[in-house]
Formats: sequence, C-alpha cells, structure tokens
Amino acid sequence: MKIRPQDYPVIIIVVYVIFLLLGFLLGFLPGRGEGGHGRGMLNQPVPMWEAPA
Amino acid sequence: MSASVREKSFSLSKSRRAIQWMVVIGTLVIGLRHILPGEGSRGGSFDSFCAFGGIETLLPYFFTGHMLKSTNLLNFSVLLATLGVALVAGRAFCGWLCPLGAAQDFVAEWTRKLFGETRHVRGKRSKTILPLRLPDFLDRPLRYAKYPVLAIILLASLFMVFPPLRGFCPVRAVFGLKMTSLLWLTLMVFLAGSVLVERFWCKYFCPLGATLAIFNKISPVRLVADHGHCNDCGRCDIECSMDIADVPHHLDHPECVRCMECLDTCAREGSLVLKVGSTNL
Repeated sequence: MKIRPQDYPVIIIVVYVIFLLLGFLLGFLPGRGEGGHGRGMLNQPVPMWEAPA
Repeated sequence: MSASVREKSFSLSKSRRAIQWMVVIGTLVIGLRHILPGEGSRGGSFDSFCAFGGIETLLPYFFTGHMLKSTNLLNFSVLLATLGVALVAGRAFCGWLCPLGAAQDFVAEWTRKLFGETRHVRGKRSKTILPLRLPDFLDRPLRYAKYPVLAIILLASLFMVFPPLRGFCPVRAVFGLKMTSLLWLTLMVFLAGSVLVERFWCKYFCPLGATLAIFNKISPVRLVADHGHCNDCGRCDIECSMDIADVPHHLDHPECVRCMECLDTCAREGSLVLKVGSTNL
C-alpha cells in the first residue's frame, strides 16, 4: 500500500507517542525523587531492620 | 517538461527540519532543567530521558535487578518508543527525532553556508570543501566501528555504577549544560567531526544507530524504487547525508536514517515510492 509523503512524519510521531504511552502503561515511569542520582526504586538501600544480623 | 516531473506541493525536507528544531529545543529545555537544583525530585535526571540510557541499563537491570545510577524506569519507556519507531519505519528515529542527528544536520548546513553555499544544492554536487566525504579506504572500516562501541558499552555496563557512555556522551556535551572537562573535549571533537564529515557521529560511532540498523531490513514502512522509471540521475546519491552510494538500489541499507531527502529531491515522480509492506511496486 502506498503512503503519501505528507503522512510519513505523522506516522513517525504517532508511533513514537503510542509506544511511549505503552511504556508508561507498563509502569516504566520515574517516581518522585528517583533517578536523579542513583536512587531508582529498585536501588533502595535495605533498611537496617531487614538486614541480616 | 515531461508530465512525470514532480510538482511539489509538500516538502518532506522542510517538515523534517521543523520537527528537528522542536526536538532540539525540547532537549535543551531538559538540559536547562538539568542545571537547576533538585532535578531528581521532578521526575528524573537528564540521562533518564535517553533511549540509549535504556540500553545501557538493560543488562544490569536484567541480571541484578538494579539500574545504573542516573537512569531510571523512564529510560525504558523512551527506549520502547524508539524501538517502536524502528519496528515500523527503520532508523527513522535517527533521521527525524534524534537531537544529536539534528545537531549534526544543522552543523553541516551552517558549514556549507560558511563556505559560500547559500542553500543546499539540489541535483549537483556541492562546490564547498566541507563537509567532506572520507575516502573509501577510511570510510568503510570506520562504518563498522559503532558495532564494537555498542558491544564494549554493553559489556562495561555490567561492571559500572553509572552508564558507561555518560562521561563522554555527546548528547550531554551538546545539550546537558552541566559540563565537565571531558564533556568539553567531547563537544569540541563532536563539533570538529561534524564540520569535517556530515553526520560523523551517526556514521561511525553511534551505538544507538548500531542497535537500530537491523530494523531497516524488517520495517514495513519503506521506500521502494521503480527501476524502470528511475533514470539513475544520481540526485539522491548527492543528497544522502549518510553518503550511501547508488541509493535506489540500497534503500534498505543499514546506514540509511530514513530522512527521505532522496524522495524529496527526486525529480521523477514515481521513481521512489513510500510504501507499507512488500518491496514490490
């Protein structure tokens, strides 16, 4: 199927936005206070009371 | 004039340039936010908006469950969006949405103007000295350099705390606004390279480009050439910023950034056709 050249930029931007939103829906979002300098949610220090003796 | 000569009512080149300016301004805004205090409390660092940051932190995340410092989950969303575009339209991200690609295009255009060419020459080779085309014996091996660069970064990511490219990342150097001496050096090398060779970083060293290259072969949105109609005038070869030789016969080339300048410059309507699906006309 042929595409009109003027539709090409629209396709690229729409696809980018759709996949970006898909990422957000999958939960790939920064929480507040995360990711600034290494405080990602999976990178939290283990609290003292959980640490092995 | 023949009826097949294209009368242009729409310029892909101009719309690409408009989108590139928006991307550059948007990235500069993120960079500006980067130099203001408390960036982490407003949803992530400068690095967390980077698609390649998602690749850099992918292996550590997969094997250890931890992300590299200065990256966060937003990197995966941006990476997913970039891969989505690649899945649909090959390396169109490089040609249309990458801020670094845009910066290189602007530098090349300004360089031509500086050397006396008031506008991009259509249909004939530029008379300006710069940007130049490297001779084949240098260009060909250098084109493969980006693949080992990607492999080294992936391997290094397993042993590092910050993303391996972070210290000398050209995106940080151009847009980050928080400079170190190494980033200043990177900026100078990047600018000098872009003045000397058009899309110097994309051609030789970009690890994200290396990742996306394979998608040119499988993406459904593609250009198809009608070789019965094309008269091999070579306008598209001259216009190609990635210096792909014999463009109509190499439309799925891994180096192609899908900028569509070849389609825009083509004077014979129907020689190059934008399609979804098969490579047959």
